[in-house]
Amino acid sequence: MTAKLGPAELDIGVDGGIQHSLDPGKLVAMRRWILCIAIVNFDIDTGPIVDQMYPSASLDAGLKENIAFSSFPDASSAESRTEIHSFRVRHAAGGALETTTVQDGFMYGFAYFLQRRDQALKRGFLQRSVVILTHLPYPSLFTVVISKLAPLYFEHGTAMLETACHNIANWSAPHPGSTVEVGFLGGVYAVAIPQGPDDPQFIETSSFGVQFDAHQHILASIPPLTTLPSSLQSPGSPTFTMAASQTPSILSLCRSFLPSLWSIWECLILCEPILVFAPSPSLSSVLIWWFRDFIRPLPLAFDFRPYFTIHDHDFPDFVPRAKMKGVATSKSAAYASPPKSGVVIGVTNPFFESACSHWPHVISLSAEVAAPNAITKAQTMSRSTSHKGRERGSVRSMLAPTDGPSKSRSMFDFSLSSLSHARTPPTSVQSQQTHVGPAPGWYTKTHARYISKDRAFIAQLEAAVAKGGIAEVEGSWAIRQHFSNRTTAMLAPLNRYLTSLIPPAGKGARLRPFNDADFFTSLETHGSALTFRSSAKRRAFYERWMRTLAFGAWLAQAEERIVGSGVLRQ
Amino acid sequence: MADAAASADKSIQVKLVLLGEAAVGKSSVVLRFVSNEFQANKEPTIGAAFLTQKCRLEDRVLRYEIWDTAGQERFHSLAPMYYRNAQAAVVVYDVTKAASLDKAKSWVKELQRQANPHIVIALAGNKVDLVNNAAASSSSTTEETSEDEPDDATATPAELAQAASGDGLRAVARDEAQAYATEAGLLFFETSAKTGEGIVELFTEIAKKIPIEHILASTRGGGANRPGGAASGSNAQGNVNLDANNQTPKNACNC
Repeated sequence: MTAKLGPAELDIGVDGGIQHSLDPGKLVAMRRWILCIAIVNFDIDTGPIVDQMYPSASLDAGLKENIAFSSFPDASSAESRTEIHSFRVRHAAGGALETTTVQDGFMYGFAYFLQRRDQALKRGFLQRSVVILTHLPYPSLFTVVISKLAPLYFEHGTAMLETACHNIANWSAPHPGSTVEVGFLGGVYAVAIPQGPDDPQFIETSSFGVQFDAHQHILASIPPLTTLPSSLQSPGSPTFTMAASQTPSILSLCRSFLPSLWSIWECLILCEPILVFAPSPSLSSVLIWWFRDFIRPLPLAFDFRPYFTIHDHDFPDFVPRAKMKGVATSKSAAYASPPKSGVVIGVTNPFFESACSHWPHVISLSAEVAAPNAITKAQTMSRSTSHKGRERGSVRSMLAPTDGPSKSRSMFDFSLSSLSHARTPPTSVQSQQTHVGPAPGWYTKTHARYISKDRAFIAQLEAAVAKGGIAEVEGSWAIRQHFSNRTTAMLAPLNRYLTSLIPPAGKGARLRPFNDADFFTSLETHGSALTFRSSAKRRAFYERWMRTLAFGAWLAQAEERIVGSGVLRQ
Repeated sequence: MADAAASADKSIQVKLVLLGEAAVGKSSVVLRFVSNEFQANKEPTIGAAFLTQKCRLEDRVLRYEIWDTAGQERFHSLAPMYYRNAQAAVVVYDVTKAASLDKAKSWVKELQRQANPHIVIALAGNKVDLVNNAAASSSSTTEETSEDEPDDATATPAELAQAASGDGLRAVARDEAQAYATEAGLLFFETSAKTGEGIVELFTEIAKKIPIEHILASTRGGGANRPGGAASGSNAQGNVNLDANNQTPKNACNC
């Protein structure tokens, strides 16, 4: 049922002989896709630490610490369980990572966390994460990779890391727009690489078309699919298969605030800061990836963190010093500031509720979705007993009842109830609602919606929620299509106006300047496919958007595209 | 790439796994089949390498998805991952090493016990060039035993010296291996990855024996059963020759 090997065997591999490096040619080939595979263990004195990297990579201590904490759930349960989540941590270009193509100044981690009882260990548990570290923001691909690799690693040890890296080194380069056939640990997949990071991928327009088969075809940049192929699931290991199939659908995640999706979409487009509370890193990361996908093909102009911990080095940027008063911090570099615009973060630590009470927009997810063991019976175990200077209320606040409505269960209540029902089969608690932070839903202090909701669509989605199963999966795809269409529709008037800025042939190599007044005249004349609640709202929406970073990013990219296409030279 | 995708759609995918003791030349057999090349001193395989090659059989095109597994003992426990769902297996031994046949027999037993019951198994006695050379010429030319993987524990310097000397090279009689293969219901070939002898024949005979109708039927049954799925996409291996028929006539896989 669970892994066969103890920690000692895992560390030395099946019978030793592990080489921690690849030959230089293979290393370069592998690094087109990933930096390395990291093993993160729990150290009783310091908390999570990066124990091993295959192949070895020189990362600075700060980055390693960020990776280690981001690879472990904030709140642990006493149950044996597995969980897949992802994270995004900042790293400076160049430096230690010169062998990896740095794309956007961030490193992505795709983690598979395993916890199981092990009396041989001082802590009573084996807690370990296997993490793919990469510069490629391809959640769909790397969720498949990690869910295939990690169970095998826990069964066979380090030899699997070696094998996986050699497989990846043999993959063709991830050229934009190509479809790459990859062999990985006995499976073969066709992976469609997007044209660019901001180009949405759809089954219909992919090289797979109508032949798309989720068992073997992967659209690299889309959020992880709801269900993963059975072929990825390790036979005879229920705990592993659960992790592979637990990826929740966007529809089930958003069920408690479906009518607010239009407001949320607007906030994403307008680069508003959004804080997402989730009961587990896996739910948090999936939702954040969906949000990131909603705004394609608009260039990404906000920072998103699928799973953000209080230990992240960017924490002071998101939580002002005033909010951290009374919390023991020895080296707080925090400064008081409102939340940055354009930050979307997913958290699972209730500490953020008070620390980030000044954030304008908050989403709270319920754990009732997907109901994997991984997110039920949350019993808080202190992450560390001696986090000198890094407490920031982590353990304490996790154990303290939250301020939410009395209906909500705090982590603390929950831990008690799970202790008292220690022998209850997991199924009996799956229907219980648990959440972190405020009661499930969408909260905004400042946002008043501009566009119209689609009430018929909401009704359809609600019906799909009620039906569940395949209807829910289809509903999720419909949501994605719906908001992707809205992003495209929102850009249409801008693109229309932009073409009028192309100078006559031979009259210049640049676009004429974007003139706000002219744009609004064009908008009044031609209207918009996007339905706004009023024409005043429409104007207000665009005025506001044109003051965001997204506008600048879009204009620069659009101009580059037009100049690059050569129309100006004709 | 469009061509590759289009032809991949029409071809029948066959998952094939290579098993056998370390340094018997599994990777070299695959390299000969896939690229019609031979590399001296090939490094040992880690885990398993994935390669593809097409093989025309009458009016059908089979596309082999080949998992070339590591022979080193430390990877033994990973083998089920590769032979699971495989339609074909090539179990390789070295005609100059008797022990390698014993290992091959144990792989065959494991496959017959645990793999797909319809799996087609071929036994390949590799490095037959070493034996042929000894028979053809009595001179002790320093024949490179280049199929030997350098890091392998089984290829001791003494053995290499013996092999190079041309004396007492054959350690497994052809008849003995043939008799075993017949009894166990295996295809049997003696091969040389170095000269190419027997390689195309090996893969061609496997292709003939694959229950193609069975594969097609299971494919229609749904995507859960991977075999035969219409995977599209470009080849993972840059050096894969997509069309075996473009190779030298000797290597044409058109039976």
